[in-house]
Amino acid sequence: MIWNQAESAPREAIEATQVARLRETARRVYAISPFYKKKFDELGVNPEAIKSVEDVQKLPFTKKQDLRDHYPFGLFCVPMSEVVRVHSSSGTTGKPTVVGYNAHDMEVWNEVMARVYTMSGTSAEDVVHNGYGYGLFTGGLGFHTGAEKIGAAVVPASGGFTDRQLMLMRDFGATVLACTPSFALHLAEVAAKAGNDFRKDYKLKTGIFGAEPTSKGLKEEVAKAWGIDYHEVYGLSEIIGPGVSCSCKHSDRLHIFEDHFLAEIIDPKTGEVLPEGERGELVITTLTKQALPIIRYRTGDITSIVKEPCACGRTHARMESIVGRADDMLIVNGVNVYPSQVEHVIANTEGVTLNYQIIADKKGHLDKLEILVEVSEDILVDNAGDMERIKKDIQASLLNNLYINAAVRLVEPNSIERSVGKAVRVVDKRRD
Amino acid sequence: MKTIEQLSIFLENRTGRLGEITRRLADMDVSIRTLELVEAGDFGILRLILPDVHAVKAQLGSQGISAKITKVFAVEIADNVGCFYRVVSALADEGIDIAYTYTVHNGTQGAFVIKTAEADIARAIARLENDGVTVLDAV
Repeated sequence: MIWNQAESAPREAIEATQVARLRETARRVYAISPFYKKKFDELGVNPEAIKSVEDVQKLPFTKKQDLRDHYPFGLFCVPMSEVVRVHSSSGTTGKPTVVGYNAHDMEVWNEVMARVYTMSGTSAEDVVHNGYGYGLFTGGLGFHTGAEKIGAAVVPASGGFTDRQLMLMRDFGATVLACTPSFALHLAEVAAKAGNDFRKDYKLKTGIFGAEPTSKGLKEEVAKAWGIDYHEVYGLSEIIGPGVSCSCKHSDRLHIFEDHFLAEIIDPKTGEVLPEGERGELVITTLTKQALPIIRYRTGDITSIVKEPCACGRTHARMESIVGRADDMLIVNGVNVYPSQVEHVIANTEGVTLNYQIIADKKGHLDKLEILVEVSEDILVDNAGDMERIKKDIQASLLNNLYINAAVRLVEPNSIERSVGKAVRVVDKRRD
Repeated sequence: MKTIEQLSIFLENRTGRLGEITRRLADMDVSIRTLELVEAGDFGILRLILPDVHAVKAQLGSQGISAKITKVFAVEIADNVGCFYRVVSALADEGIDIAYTYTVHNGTQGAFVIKTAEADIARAIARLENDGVTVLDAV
């Protein structure tokens, strides 16, 4: 099922919509936002000069720091009387980034979330268990009002309280699970304590997971653990929240809702737009947002985009599941390495956990990479030969798949440093 | 079946780690019957036979140290030349691979502790007893 026929429009029609909406958005920010007026003028660009989709490349980038610099409402393009909702990022360093929506923006958000739900096979018949956190984070409320839009029954479970959430999922007959993939896996692990046939107590058929970078291995694990379809959602509060793109059942790639978001892939170092299919940093311009329109937002996420139509009937371009962060990317002896690629290799190795740490250091003039991997408590073997084999497997797989030579060190369970529950994935000693 | 449960602990090769584990065992008032330390580059495996491996594993687990219980068996060292050869050749004759073996002595009696694939243990013990080798209930 496809929610809106705009999702399967011919390429020329998509681009015609994009050009008109891009020009309109550029006019809006140029007229209302002193920040954008100054930036446009510095580059000598005028909104009226936008004649094609490619003309977006003439416009200035917007960075996360720009939102921080105008904390809290400095980049809003509507009066506060028109704003109906405010969300904010967690902001681990410095001021958080604040985003706002007017009534029209809320409609846009609900529209794209309705498309996400429909893409995952969810309809008015379903019970959606929403385990995304409610609050300033866009996940909880984005999934909540989107479910209401399609007429599904939504259970606003929010995060935490695993046992109680499982009880609600069983008793309310949840058919759709929406939460982070790591929480979905945690729920399955706890549910499995009731026995290996625990799935008979649940009616789940599909899940919509996102909000954290996810390796293919983890996705497969979640899908298998619950015996459900896995749909990945992508989004960020600066653009709208969840609902920028979502994967259908025909492909791992995520359809970008191109009539609302204009996506580009650039070289994060030079800012140059890259050819279709190449990996680089995802840059998004909002095409229909009014309270906080954003021009060429540097997401920092690394992905690639292809435009060929999909077997599902949608023509909207598809992005790869995020492979890494532009600021996380390590260059080791000239080779680009993303932690998520390393994670993918580790996920496909028996006997180790997904708790790992990548340590980059210098040996003379050369870079050297060491990867610490926690051995699994369950599969912990008492045979040194088997352990050596696991180590060699990871090493060979890194070399064959990522073209990197890394030393692998197996470490004790729970020994890798964690900060606020999250493992520290990359330690770059070359910067010291 | 005369199997013995052995506790294996994965150890990173860093200063003080062995001391830390053995201190915890002493704090738990655990008497170690046998101990073998296998060194493999940047990690090692400490193999222990203790009075109550399950309780010790649970206690170590609560302190964040993972351990694995493995089934092994022990045969008496007869006081004559070639006794180890007879044990090894009997197993080879049965087509049973020895993963590893080590010796222990409790003051009056010596034994070989032998690890094979778990599926082979029953057959190994049957053959050795048939050959007149004493398989021990405990070490």
